[in-house]
Amino acid sequence: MLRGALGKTFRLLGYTIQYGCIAHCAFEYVGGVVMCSGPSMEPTIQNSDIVFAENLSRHFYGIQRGDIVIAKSPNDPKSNICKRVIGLEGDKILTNSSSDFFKSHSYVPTGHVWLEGDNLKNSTDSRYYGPIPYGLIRGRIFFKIWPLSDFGFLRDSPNGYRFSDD
Amino acid sequence: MAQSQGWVRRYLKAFCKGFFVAVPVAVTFLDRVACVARVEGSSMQPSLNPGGSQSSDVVLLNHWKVRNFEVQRGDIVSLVSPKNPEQKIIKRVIALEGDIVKTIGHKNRYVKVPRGHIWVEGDHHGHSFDSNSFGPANLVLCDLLAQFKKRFPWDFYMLMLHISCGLQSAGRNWNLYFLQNACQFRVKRNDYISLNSTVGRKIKKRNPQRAKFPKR
Repeated sequence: MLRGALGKTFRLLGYTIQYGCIAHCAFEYVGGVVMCSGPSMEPTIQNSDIVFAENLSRHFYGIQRGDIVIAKSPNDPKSNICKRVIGLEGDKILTNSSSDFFKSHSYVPTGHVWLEGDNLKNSTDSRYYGPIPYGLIRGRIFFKIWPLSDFGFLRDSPNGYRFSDD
Repeated sequence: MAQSQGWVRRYLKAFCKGFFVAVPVAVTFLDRVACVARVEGSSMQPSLNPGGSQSSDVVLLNHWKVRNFEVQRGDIVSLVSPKNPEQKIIKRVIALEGDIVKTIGHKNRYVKVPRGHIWVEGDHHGHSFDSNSFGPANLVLCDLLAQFKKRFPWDFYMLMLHISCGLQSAGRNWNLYFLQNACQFRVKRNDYISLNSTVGRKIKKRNPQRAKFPKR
């Protein structure tokens, strides 16, 4: 009786560990479902939308300009941010708004990326804390699941002029 | 004939079952708990690789201890290089967020480490690619803590072989010592001064140069 209960417990524990490890591998290397909150990506991703994120392109260094990525916040390692990649290493970036008379540019250093939200007026991004290292990127968002009216691949950036033209 | 087919099928089934259990468990363990890595280069001399290029030390990297991003001054951490994300570097933590560091060859003489960042340096000054060249490193990049090292007479692959063979008794001859207490001269030299947030703000307004480094 006791032995049977013990064996059952151990089997349950083993299955828990096994499926936990499989889930960890899937979330770490393949991708997962993420809920976004906050207004910084407003026209593309509304508050509390549910999206699908994949991590493969990060592991194979396939992040490109215009991709929406999830990254660790550079100020607070426990929180995540969701922004659009505006510049990769070596790109020339406009650091102030394009309507200003004096335009200031900066170059993204090696191994870094420049992130900006689509809602330029209400977004804390690289214009505030500078370029962030590539190692902070967790995954790339490419598919929206919820709300169903917006089901499908994500739209392009509404601020196309922010990309460096080369 | 039918018997041998059944045997093959049973064997394959057992293999698949074992494979799907063992691989995720192993990957998760290596990602979350600990892994073993070989150190290359001379930037951490004399703590690691004291013999130069002839020997390369093997360290145990403890992920579990840095899961909450709590590192201390003097710890040796492995981090993804900010300049080249495909490369990993191993350095000593000199200062944490909010500290003011006296730099060696950085563009600013004194640097205040921003929030969520750490200041890392190799023990071999001048021969190390560290915060003095790339500035404060982000805490998220630092994902592993090197806890102790094994000076190993053979190659890294021999070590892997030993581990896979389960020859635990082979560890008796290794010089196993904790790195955290070894070689803290840079930290002991009092090159950083930790400031409480309120005190720091007060001092910074008045006279930053004198207040940061009082005479001993």
